[in-house]
Amino acid sequence: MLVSRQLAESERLRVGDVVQLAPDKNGSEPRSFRIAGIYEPTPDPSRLGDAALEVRLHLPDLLSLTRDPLTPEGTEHVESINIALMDPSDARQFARDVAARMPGVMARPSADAGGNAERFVILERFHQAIAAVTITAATVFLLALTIMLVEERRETVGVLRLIGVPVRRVFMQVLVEGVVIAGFGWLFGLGLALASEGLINRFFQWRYDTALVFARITPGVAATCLMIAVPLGVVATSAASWALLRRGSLRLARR
Amino acid sequence: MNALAYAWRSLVRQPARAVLGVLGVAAVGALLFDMLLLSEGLVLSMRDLLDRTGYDIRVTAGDPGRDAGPLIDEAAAVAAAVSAQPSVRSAITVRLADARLAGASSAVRPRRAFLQGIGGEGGRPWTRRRGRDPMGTLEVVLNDEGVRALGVEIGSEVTVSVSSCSGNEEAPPPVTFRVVGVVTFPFDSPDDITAGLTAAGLADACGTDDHGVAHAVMVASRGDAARAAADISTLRPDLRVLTTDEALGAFQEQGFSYFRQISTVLTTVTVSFALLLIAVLLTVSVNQRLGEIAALRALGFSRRRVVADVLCESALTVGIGGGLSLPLGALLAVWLDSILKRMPEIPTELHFFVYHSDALLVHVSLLAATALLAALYPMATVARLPIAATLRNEVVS
Amino acid sequence: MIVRADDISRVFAMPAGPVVAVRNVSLGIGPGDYVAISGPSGCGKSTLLHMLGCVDTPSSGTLLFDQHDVSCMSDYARSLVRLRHIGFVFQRFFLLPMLTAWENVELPQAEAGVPRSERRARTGELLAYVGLASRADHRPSQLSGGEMQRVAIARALANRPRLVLADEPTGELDRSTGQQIAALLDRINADGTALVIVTHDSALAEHARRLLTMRDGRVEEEGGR
Repeated sequence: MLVSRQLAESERLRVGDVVQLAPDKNGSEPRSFRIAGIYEPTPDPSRLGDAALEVRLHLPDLLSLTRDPLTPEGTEHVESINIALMDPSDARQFARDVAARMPGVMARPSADAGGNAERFVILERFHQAIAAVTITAATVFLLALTIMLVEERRETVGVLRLIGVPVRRVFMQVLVEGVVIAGFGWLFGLGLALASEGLINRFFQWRYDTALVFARITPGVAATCLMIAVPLGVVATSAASWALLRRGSLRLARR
Repeated sequence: MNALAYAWRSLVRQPARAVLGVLGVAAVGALLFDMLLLSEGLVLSMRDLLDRTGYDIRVTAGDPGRDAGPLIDEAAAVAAAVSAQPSVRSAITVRLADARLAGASSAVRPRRAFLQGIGGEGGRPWTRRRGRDPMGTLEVVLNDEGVRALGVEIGSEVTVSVSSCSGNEEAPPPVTFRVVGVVTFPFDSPDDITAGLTAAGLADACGTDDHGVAHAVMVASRGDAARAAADISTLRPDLRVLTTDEALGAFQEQGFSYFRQISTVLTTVTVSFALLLIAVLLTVSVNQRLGEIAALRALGFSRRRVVADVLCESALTVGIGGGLSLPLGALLAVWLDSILKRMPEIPTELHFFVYHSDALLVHVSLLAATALLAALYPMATVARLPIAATLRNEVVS
Repeated sequence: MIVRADDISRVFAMPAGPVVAVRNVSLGIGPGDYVAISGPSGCGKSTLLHMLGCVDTPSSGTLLFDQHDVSCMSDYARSLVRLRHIGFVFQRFFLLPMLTAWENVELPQAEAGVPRSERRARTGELLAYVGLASRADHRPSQLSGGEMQRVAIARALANRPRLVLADEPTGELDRSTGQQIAALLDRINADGTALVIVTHDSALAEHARRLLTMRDGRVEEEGGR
């Protein structure tokens, strides 16, 4: 049999060890099995926190071990049959064919079998809600900062206006600066996120003793951040500048 | 004009900036507050639900896992023996089953339901809303969803067809019960239909004679649950005894641990975020006023005073924002709670965000520490400000 | 003697090498003195003024304020000296923009712990003294340059200093306004307050009774009327 890594570590088992398995907690009618290998269980998000203390046997061995004495050999039942198709894209059609030919049997593609997927959809919405609040707070602070930074240039802008530089030219310059700052900010934020991704995954994988990946910065995520950060930076800078440029030149240049 | 009053005037001198700074702190503070509510919220809510049953110890034949678990043979005798313990106030047996319920009207299709068969003299693990508890064998109480979905009321008849009943592999014939009460079960999800019966009633519905078996014995101690649990373990070492505290401990380790972890991570991120942003706001604000500060120093304001001005400005921004963050956080918690409660199989009465006074204390402490730490760099800038050089630079610039 | 400087120098450490801003200067300022310090840009006038006002300390030599060695005072003690005994008038006024004229003048008194009723009386008196009683509720942004400087002078007089130091008090003002300020400074000195001004304005310097000319950090000549 194979044992999970977690079970091997918990019971200090090694390949080659002979152990006894019994079908009930009293240990009655045990059978001996040799550990042929140690495997890493497929991470299951719906079982987060559960210690993966499990073993894998040949099916006949498992059926033989757990068969009710009154059940004739060959009439046992299994919960499911996993099928690997030559062409995975045939999964839905195959499932329909099986269901049609064997009434009472439920066949479905693996992609649709995520019975617990809804829980993670909800969690995703929760995370998005947190992100929305964080972005809102960041935007508010960003506006405050850009107002202060633009205010610092009040005299300079006033003098430029007095000597005849058009509003549009000044505004465009500020806009370009806003794009550059937002772009660099996005890059820095992305770097910070990538570094955090590693830390978060390492921490939670250690904490839950799992190979699950908890955080992943995909190109899509990076692109979404860019599409939020740069326009926000530009809008904040523009809003602050517009408020400033509306004032008269003399008022701006006056100390 | 003391430091606080001066700081207030400095703050309102640029109202847009001040309002935005306060709002930013309020938003971040609201998120921080909610994460603190989340850190213990589930445990507190679960404890509340467990306490609503009226029992603080659960005795089972083994680990229930993902279904009702194995039956306790002679559970009624176990309950009677447990009840006789001096540390125990009362004990009841609980047997569970799945069934389909149908009302009298054929227009209403049968619905899947969970059955709880209760034996013993102790209080029932539900809250009665209308009517009374079942006493006879053919009496049943339903929850609100059951009454609504089946179109029945107190006095109506419902037909119970048990589909899964431990101890009987064959599907028993349907049995008709009379509804005698409408109750609330603590762990019901919004769409759950749950029915409460007597132990004998459930045995009849299961088509068996054995009224004494049950999935669990629920025990109410006389105040010392740990001692009562120890007494029960001594009496029946073959059974698994779990107090409410132990059950919650297990939930913490498994099902709830994700939310504790995310709460800790987000609390850390939120505080760091607030610290950074407030520090930047204050630093930029101070840097814009260096000439003014140097002039105040030249006029005789002590280093301590100008540093106190900066600290007060930070305290005001964080204090006002922090005050606003509480009602904002409460609203945000309602929204976030409603998102998480859409997860399947979450009891209606279970909440993820629950107020507890520790959360408020930690929130205030963290914000106070943030105000102080964020002001450190600008305070140092102001404390070390070379007066003469700054005045000179102001003239030159 | 209010301030006595004996052979004081001030050296600034710069990346390109030390810069001697003030070199071996000795002078004394007594009660009622009116001293003007002039000289080309960068000759050390403002640095000398800052040292006399206990804003800065000499790198060498002895500087005494009221017989106390300024170099031996803590920063807090020097702050108290400036608060209670010295008034500063700056070229750029440095009024607090979020406070009214009244509040700007009242601020140093509050910091010095003057009781509220006394502050009110003193502030009203000072604003009338500088001719701005009717502008007490105006913020600096609502005042002209000359008016702002008069408020700054009133602020400098708030705690009845024995010595007022003014760094280019007419530097940002037109001639006519500058003359008004000069007249006000004359009045302050006539009322018994010692005055030291740094100025490029020869017309202002002529009002002083002692004129120090600085060059390269040294006092090259001392004249007067």
